[in-house]
Amino acid sequence: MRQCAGVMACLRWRVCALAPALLALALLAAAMLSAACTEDRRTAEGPDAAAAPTERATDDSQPAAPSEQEQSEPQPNQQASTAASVQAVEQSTGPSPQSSSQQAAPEAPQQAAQQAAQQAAQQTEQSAPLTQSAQSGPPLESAPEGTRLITLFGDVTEIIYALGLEEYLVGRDASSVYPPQTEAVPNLGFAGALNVEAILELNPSLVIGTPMAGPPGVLAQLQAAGVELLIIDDFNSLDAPMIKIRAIGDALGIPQRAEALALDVEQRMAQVTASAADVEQPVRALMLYLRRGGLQLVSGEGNKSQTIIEAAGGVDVATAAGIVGWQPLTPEALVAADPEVYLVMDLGVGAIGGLDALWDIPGVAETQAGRGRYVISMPDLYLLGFGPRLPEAIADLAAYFQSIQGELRGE
Amino acid sequence: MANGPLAQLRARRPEFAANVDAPLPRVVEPLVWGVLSAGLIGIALANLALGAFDVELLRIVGLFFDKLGIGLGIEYTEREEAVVWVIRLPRMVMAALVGAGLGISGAALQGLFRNPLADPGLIGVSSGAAFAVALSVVLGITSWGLFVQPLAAFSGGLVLMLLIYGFARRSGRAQMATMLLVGIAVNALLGAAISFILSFSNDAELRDIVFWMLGSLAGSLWEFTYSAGPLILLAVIFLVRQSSALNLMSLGDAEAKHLGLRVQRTQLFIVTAAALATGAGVAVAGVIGFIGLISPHIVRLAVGPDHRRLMPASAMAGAILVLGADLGARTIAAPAEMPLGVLTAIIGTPIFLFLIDRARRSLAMVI
Repeated sequence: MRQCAGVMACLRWRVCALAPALLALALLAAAMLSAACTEDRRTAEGPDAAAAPTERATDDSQPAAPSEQEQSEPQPNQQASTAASVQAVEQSTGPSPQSSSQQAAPEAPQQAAQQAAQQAAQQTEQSAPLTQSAQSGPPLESAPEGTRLITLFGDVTEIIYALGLEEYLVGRDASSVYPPQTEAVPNLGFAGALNVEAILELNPSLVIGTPMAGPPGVLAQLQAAGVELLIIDDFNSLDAPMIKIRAIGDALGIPQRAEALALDVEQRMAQVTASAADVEQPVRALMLYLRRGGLQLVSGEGNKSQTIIEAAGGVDVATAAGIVGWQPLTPEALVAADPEVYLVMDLGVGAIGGLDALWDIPGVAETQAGRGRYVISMPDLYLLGFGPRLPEAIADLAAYFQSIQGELRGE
Repeated sequence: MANGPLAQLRARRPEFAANVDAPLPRVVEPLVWGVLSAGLIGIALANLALGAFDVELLRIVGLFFDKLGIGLGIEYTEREEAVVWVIRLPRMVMAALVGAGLGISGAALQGLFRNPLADPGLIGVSSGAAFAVALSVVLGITSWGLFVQPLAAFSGGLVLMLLIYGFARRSGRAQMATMLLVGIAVNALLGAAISFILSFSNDAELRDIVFWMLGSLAGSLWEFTYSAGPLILLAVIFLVRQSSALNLMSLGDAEAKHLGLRVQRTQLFIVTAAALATGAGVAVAGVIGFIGLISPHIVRLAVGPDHRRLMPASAMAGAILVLGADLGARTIAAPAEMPLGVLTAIIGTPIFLFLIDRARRSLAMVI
């Protein structure tokens, strides 16, 4: 009570002492309004922002749905449903090729010849959505001349290479480590701490990032300097690669090329998930996010680990145990969850000093997985990037699950 | 000034005149101000001219004359204009202001607490701001807009400062020593709270928070300069005007009161002004350590303990240090970016150790 009185006295004590604070709040509020205005302008410009709500909707509904279908429904049904979702995405992104090509126009160097080439490209793109579904083998489109790309996350970089557009790539962030050729592309460091001048020095026409890119002020500076920015949400669903590929294809004015790749990934995904479905007595897996130092994290419900484990025909025991998101590892909770196999990532394994060190973490060895030393380590980007290699990652995981299933169930 | 409290004091307490109020040798005074001004202008211009993006010096000159309405006929591209005008200039102004605010706050608080280890972090501004930012990042409200994070930092810092001050003066009048202790205790508590938040945040949130806690001016936009700049400037001007009062308070609260100073009021005003200068800086640039601690110590070597010289000189030294560190942050690791707080610590620690060593040898300064 006395403490309260002290605070109150302090607050009462000459309100004028607080006047500067109030002034500051007013100033910040005014500045916030102006920022909101610029934000609006940005939303109006970016195709990503316009497309995001619909994509988010599919994202939200997706993670649970496919796995249920895999387990309960026969195969053809599932294919039909994915086909339907493709159409929905096409409809939502249908008009955006035009807008994206228009916004790309001012970015190109102001040479007449290039502008002419670009206009030609625009015209072909504008007719593209009409003919797209009918054509089976279109000639390869190419991005507008003068395109200079910077990718700010590993999955985006992978998609650029998968689309065969690496010739346009002039910069990438530190997480872009696949394919190995990215080594030769200038590295801008961690995507959350960007150096805006270094980006501008590379003279990009389009910067593609994820919500991790920042700090926010730097992104605003980039736009002020006339660089087009595309932020692709970090989707957690099995159709994430397709959504990302199509969004990038639209932004670069190559929707058909992107569609071909997206359909290819989708096909592989359908094969992988179909063969992984209907497993009797699925393997109970748990993903650990290993860090240097004492505290390790368990990845639970709503994370990508749940999506990928279930797609590979396993059961995510962290989700089953009621762990939501990333949670610090509690040895007793881990023993109670009792996974049959651990899923870890290569960088984390490196951080703790090799797979052998995993079993020294309290609780880790006291589970079925610990007794049988069942653990699979995969490259971080391969496993959680949710890029064009997602079907292969799921297939690898499913293959490992199947290989140990016999041993586990035989015991 | 002839009949003011200081004049009376000089007559009655000659040792005050000798220690605190002593004029500098005639050569030293202009030299100090000359060096500080030249350093400030020089490093500010270097910040404008250097960076990962190559812009010719001549073009920068041409650009500035164009902005002044004097066409020199020097051509530059739109992108070069954007780099200098939208990126480097607001960042340079912001670095200078943040540095000045930290430097002068450090000097004011060291005088107020009569403790050479006081720095703006001690009154809770930095940890309050850091806690508010960590919370807002984890709650996901930072995605609402560019200004959510600075606003959270600013209000978090001010609220915690007021709580600490209120707690320290609950016995009737604020004991500065109590405030120091309360500040240390609350900082420890919030440090634990931040670590707790970090322990269950995911990779991206973790990096966001840590990046912010290391300080960076990378996102300096004109909007931030317009909103935080005037605030820091007002606080700095106010603190400079409190220099004589700080000189009196260096004698002790009771003496200052008997000399006619309204001690409680002055204390609250100075603490609030320091919190505003620091809080506004922290809001836009994150936590930048060491500047508030070492700037006053560096300039004290040259100008002595008189706050009328120490305060403005600390502001200038703080600005120079932050400008220098930010220049390094932008260029050393290019094309990546170094966290600013790391550089200020790297620059600050050796200077501080050197000062301690020097003081111990000469015994001229109590550290």
